[in-house]
Amino acid sequence: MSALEDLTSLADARLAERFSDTREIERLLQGRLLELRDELVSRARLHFLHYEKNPNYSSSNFTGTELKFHSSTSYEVAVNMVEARSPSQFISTLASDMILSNIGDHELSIDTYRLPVGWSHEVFNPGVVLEPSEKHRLNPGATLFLCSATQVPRIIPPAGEPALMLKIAGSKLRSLIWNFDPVSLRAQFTAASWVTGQRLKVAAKVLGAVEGDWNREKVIPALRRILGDENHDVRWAALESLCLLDSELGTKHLREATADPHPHIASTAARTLDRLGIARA
Amino acid sequence: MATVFRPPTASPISLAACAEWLDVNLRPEDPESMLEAAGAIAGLAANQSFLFDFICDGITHPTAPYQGSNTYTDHTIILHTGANYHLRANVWLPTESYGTGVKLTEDIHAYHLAHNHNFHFLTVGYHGPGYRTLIARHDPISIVGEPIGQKANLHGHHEVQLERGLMIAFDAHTDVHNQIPPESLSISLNLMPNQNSVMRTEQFEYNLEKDTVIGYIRGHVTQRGKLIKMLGALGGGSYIPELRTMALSFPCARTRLMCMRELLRLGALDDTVRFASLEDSSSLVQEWARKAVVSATGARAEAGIGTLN
Repeated sequence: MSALEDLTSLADARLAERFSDTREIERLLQGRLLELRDELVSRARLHFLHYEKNPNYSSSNFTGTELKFHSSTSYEVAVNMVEARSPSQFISTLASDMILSNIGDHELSIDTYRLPVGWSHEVFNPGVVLEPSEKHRLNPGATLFLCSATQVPRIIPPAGEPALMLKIAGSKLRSLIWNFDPVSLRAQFTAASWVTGQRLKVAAKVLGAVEGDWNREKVIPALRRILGDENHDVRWAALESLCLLDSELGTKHLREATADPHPHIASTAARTLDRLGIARA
Repeated sequence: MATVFRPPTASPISLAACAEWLDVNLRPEDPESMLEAAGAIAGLAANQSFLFDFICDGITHPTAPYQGSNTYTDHTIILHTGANYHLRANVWLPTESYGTGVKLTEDIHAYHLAHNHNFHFLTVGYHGPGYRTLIARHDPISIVGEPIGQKANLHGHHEVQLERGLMIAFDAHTDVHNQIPPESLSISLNLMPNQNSVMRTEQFEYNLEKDTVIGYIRGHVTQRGKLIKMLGALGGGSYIPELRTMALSFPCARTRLMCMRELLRLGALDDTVRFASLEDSSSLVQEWARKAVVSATGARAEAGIGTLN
């Protein structure tokens, strides 16, 4: 079997349920990295051949910084290219645990930062400040496991060259990406870690702006569906829109929201009811 | 110049009826055809319920994820994809601050970012007060060589608010505009004909005050360049034959230039490609060839170039 096939069958067996015991995968990466790299080059070259044959070719597997080679329900394998950062670029948390392996020709650096004890991923707090942790030097072939719950990486490519890494990323564990100022290391804002959440938030806002003879039979069930989203920001957008469209129904959902698992929703719902002079229950 | 107009009042039509008209009549590479489509788009814009119904159906669909195949940013809703065009709705949110000073909507909507388009398209205000936009025009052909840093010679500046029912037909490459956030949530509908230019030419960013081109907007050409860079770093010279073919004949000037640069970096810029670069149809490639090829390849190349010139 080819190195990539060996890697994916090993990953299928080891990472199917939990992204935890990655030692065998790291061993395989270290032992067969050159072989794997040759195979990735052959596959990447196929993309390039498409461009040569069809100038209008575009691949959803290539984002401009990441070329995906394999994906399953529990993990994906991609090559990532990281170029020199702008000094003002935010430092961002990871959505999933991952193994990174330096498959370039030069040493690269990964500075990791620690999230403070008691950090709650779901609850944005502008007072959260990253703590510098370890500085890793990855020679060609070296691998590093990153835990999304505790580590925030900052990848520093070699001078004048992009960093090239093989990434094996587990399924998404975090619904939010936190973004930190690179100088003060303070939290700045969060964003949904997958685009559907952001799209649903926009959809909820649009539905809240519906005018005229709107279709209650469609709009209310749609907003109620969004109200059950895992992302609290999306839930709140749906709640706001329900309140705008139907004060009675909105009040009912505001009362329910005072028991929302996310403290920002619970407290904002309670404050809103108080401000409106409506009993919480 | 961008055509700003208010079409005659149209009877509301469904999304399906609008798509049916476009399927039959739209000629995607012809800007005139886009203006002919104004009636169908005005009919769709007069239908003030279709978008909300469309969104609700998408959200409550039993199996398909909401807008699952949409590759645009989250404020764009794909309404219909035809054989040679697509229809989309753009949602424009007022500026939101996050409390930490970060303005969330600025980046998502590219507010205040003056840009041109590498495609022509038609837009109509559908809901809300609409974004304001400062529109100007320039002649990109007059820019010789690398555009970044050059004078844009923008003229004909005028401001428009894309209020409900108003249409703007933007010309590819020549029309430059920015978007200023609306006071409240606004929605525009866009008719986007599929055009080869999207894959083969660039969009630029401008500084309106200094009247200069200041950068490339990330798109398909940039992405292709990133793959060239990634392969170069990953695979060394293993794809020189493809690079060479593309350097000689790819229909996008900047892609040809990126291939030539990579060949030069790999020490694989042969005489055929070198001479072709000097006679390339694009001044962007020619300028690079004169500066970079001559200086980087030394006397042998200079001798060859001397013969050509």
